[in-house]
Amino acid sequence: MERHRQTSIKPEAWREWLYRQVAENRPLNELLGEILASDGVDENSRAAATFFLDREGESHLLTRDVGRIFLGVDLQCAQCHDHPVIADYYQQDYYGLNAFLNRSSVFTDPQTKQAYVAEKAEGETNFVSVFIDGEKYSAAPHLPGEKPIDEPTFAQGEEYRVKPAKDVRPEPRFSRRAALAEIFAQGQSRQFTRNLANRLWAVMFGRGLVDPVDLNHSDNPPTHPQLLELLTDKLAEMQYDARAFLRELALSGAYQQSHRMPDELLALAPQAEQIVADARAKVSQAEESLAGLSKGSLQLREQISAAEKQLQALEEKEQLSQTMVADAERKLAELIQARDAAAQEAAARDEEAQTVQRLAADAAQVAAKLKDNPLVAETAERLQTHAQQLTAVADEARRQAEQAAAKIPPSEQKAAAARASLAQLAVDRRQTTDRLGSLQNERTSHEIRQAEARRELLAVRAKVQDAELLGEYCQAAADRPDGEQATTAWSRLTQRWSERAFIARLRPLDPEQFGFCVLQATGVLAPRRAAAEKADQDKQGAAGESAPSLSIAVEQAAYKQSERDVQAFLAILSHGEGPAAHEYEATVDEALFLANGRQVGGWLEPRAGSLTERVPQIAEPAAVAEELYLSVLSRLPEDAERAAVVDFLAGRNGEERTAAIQEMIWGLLTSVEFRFNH
Amino acid sequence: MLCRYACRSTDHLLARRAFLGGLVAGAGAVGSGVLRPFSRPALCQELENRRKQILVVFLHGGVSQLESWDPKPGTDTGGPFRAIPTSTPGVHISELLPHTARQMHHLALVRSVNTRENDHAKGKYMMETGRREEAATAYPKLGAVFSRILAPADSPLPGNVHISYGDGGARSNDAAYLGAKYASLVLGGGKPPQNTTRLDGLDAEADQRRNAFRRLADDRFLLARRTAATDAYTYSFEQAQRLMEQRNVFDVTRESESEQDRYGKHDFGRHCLLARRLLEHGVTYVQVTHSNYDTHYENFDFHIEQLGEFDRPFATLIADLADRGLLETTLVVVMSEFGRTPRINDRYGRDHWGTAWSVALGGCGVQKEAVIGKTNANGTAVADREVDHANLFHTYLQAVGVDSTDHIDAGGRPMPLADPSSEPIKELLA
Repeated sequence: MERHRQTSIKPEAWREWLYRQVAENRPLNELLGEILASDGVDENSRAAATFFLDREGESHLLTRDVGRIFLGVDLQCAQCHDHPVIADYYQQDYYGLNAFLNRSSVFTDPQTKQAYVAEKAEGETNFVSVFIDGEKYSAAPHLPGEKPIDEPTFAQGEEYRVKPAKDVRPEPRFSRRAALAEIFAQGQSRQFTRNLANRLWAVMFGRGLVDPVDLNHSDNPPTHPQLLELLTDKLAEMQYDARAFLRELALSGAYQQSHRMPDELLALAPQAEQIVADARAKVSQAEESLAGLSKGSLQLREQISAAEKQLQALEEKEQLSQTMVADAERKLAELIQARDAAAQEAAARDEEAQTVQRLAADAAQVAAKLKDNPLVAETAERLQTHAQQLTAVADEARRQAEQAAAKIPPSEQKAAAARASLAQLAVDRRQTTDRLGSLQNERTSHEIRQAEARRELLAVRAKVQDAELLGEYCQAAADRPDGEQATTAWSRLTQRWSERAFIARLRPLDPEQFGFCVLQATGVLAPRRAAAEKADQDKQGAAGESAPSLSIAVEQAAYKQSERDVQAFLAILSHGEGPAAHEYEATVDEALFLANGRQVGGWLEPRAGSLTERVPQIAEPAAVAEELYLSVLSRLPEDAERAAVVDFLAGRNGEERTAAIQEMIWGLLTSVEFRFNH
Repeated sequence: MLCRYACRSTDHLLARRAFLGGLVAGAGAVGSGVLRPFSRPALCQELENRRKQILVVFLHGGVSQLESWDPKPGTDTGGPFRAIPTSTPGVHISELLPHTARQMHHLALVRSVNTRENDHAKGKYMMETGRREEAATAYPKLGAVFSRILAPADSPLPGNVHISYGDGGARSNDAAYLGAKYASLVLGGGKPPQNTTRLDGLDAEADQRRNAFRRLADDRFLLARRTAATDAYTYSFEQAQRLMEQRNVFDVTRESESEQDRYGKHDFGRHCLLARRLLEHGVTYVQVTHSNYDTHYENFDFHIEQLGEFDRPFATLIADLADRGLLETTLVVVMSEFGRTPRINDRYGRDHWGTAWSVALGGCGVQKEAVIGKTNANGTAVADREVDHANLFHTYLQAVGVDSTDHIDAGGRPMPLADPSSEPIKELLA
């Protein structure tokens, strides 16, 4: 439970609303969803907006408290940088949560001066780390360690249901805050459910399985991890029915444990050494098995690294081979082109040579007919020479074309070889990738086994400590049962066993519980309840209402009448705002208040129906003892206690007897048992 | 099963307390790997030898540095008052503090404070916690910090007492994560703490009888289970008895008429005398508030009046602490939430001014007669050695021998004692 200063909504209204929700047994997921989503507009459920309005919409304060109260993680230290000592608390997660909340703010209606929650549709969450210079980061809305949520997009100008303007409360079409509330309300976050289960456990047992309840991280694991997972599942299965869940806890063997050490404990004394030895042997086993796993893990890491190197080399080779294939194919294409060009050239030259040969032949015939014409003969001669020359050229061209063609087959072979080599490399690479994948899978399952082994080791080590403390005590008690050593060992043993949940933890009452318990024990509350019941019956009798609402009204009336009395306890015992102190701390103020305060003093004065009026009327001292112990400590006195009461009353009569009874009641009200084991 | 304890002798009780102390520290260390339990053992011996105490005089509303520790006569901002020499050669303060001037050799001045804050509540918070306000974290105030670190656990008197005006008698909640035990006990109007007298109709014998019955019931229960918390609870009733026996410590009328006259019979005089009584009886942290210095109108008249009331009782208190040898182990600080503007406004007032103002210190761990830093000729800016609330907070801790870079365990979380990005004013430390 936490206290907070009130700003916009009266604490009574908030309490009454909460009271109603609890009385109607509203599922916790819905209730918390509404508390986060409420904008305070609906008059009937306006009080739900207290969470937001009391924090004046300060987004960092809200981020911290949503983290703490809804998710069990205090991310405060991750506001300016990743958490310096908690590995799981990242600045990115802080701002992921902040992104759900920082568009919301308090809007005060200018006319009514009433405060509401407003929200904008824009504004990104940017941040820097004070540990890292110059880098800027941004965060999309997400729960710690999870993916950002999907957000709908709207056309420009369509983002708002009610657009921002002067003196207008803007409402976006998509509210990030409501989206967060919805995740909780729908029970979609296991962190949330787990936190609720842990907090409900803490309500009953005075300490969470994860403790502090808002410091859930891997270095602060639950004392009983499987139990917490089971409780988380159950809470979801029970549809977040807090009443049913608390009932289950109340009925559990764990809850009904005694605060006393088991009587048969001393019987273990002779075996204590053996028990310690056995436990130590188990530790050695667990250590060995963990060491084996660690070794295997090392080998795996080496294999993976070798495979990774091989894969990298293959990839490099493949790349090189791809270049070679491309080169060979380009070269082949060039050669083919050259061959074709040479063939064309050869053909052209051949045609040319043939043409001139024909001309030369014709000219030779003409020259034979015109023997005397030297000009013709000369021409025929020249043509003949020319034809010979051209033939030679054509021959040369053909030869070259043949040469070019001859280059093709080797080049073709080369390209084919390059392609084949590339294909082989691809096969190799695929095989290596597959092998790496299976190695990595193996490593994952190995890591899981290692984590299990580590947990096992912690568990057996804890058992060794349990046994050692038992052994220490048994030995010390065997030497000198009353000695300082035995006393010290006993305190350590009981402390340890209660931390390990083998015996019940001592649980100091919180200020309200203490106040109400004193009111109840002194018999001040009962008449108030009776009067409220009567008044309510008179009133409701006429209206003919059903019974359950009746008892709520009665409780509320009795509560209201007692509020000021309880406030007196609060003034002395509460630390003011914020989370309650982690551990109870006795103060001299409390003792002074109980001893000299007019509240407790006044309740010990006899008045109608009160304990100090009732008990003096009992004649039999032993019966007085029973009434005192039943009324104040809710149990019957043991024989020694009965005798102590009889002793205390001896020789005191009349007013003196009443005074003696008052003294005893005060003694029991201020006893350690009343305060710590009520 | 029950444990057969030895008798409840004093020896036993002491040994048990020592053991439980160890138990608590041990639990802290086991509970989380990251936690460093407060490094008290190193301090312990030294503190046992010489118990350190702290006196803070808070001049509420913001005293004018120009009418007190840093006068600027003859300048446009100086106002009408002269500067007078003090018992520290070369150091002058305002003529409004003639008695204090004669005790100046016990004191030191920091004249270069710049807190960059002109809001009363924020300035006060900064000066008392050494930090700026943060939305999601409340820091403990000086008194709570010192009470937690320095106050002896078995003292019947509270470790953190504020003497103020008006009602009181109850705890405030200024200890934040340190726990209610260390919060200040406010003695409104110098009245004793509440619930320290027995109710009418209950005599001492009856009180003893009912406590005896309580112990009887507890003894039986504690055979089965006893923890540090149950021990602290049963012990708190013994403490309550002892506090009631010492109730007279809070009553200044127990001082002789002449002593009361030396301090003056007005509120602040009585409060200073009460502070002396409390310090003499070993209360670790005493804060006296003097109000009100918020002089937006008629600054000079108001300072004649306020400092006229402040001067003699304060100087008497310093002289008495010095005479009794208490000043050697008691750190004295005179602070405000801020100073006042050099500019004199049109109503002869001075306004809020966090930019260049002064704090006076003295006693334990402080370099006597030191003057740290200075402002410019007419006091409108710090001219040398600028410091702020965080530097001062570190300095207070160091002055009484506490490592100000240490952490304190706050319900499972290590919190730095002082702002980790700041440091003490080393040249001010003795």
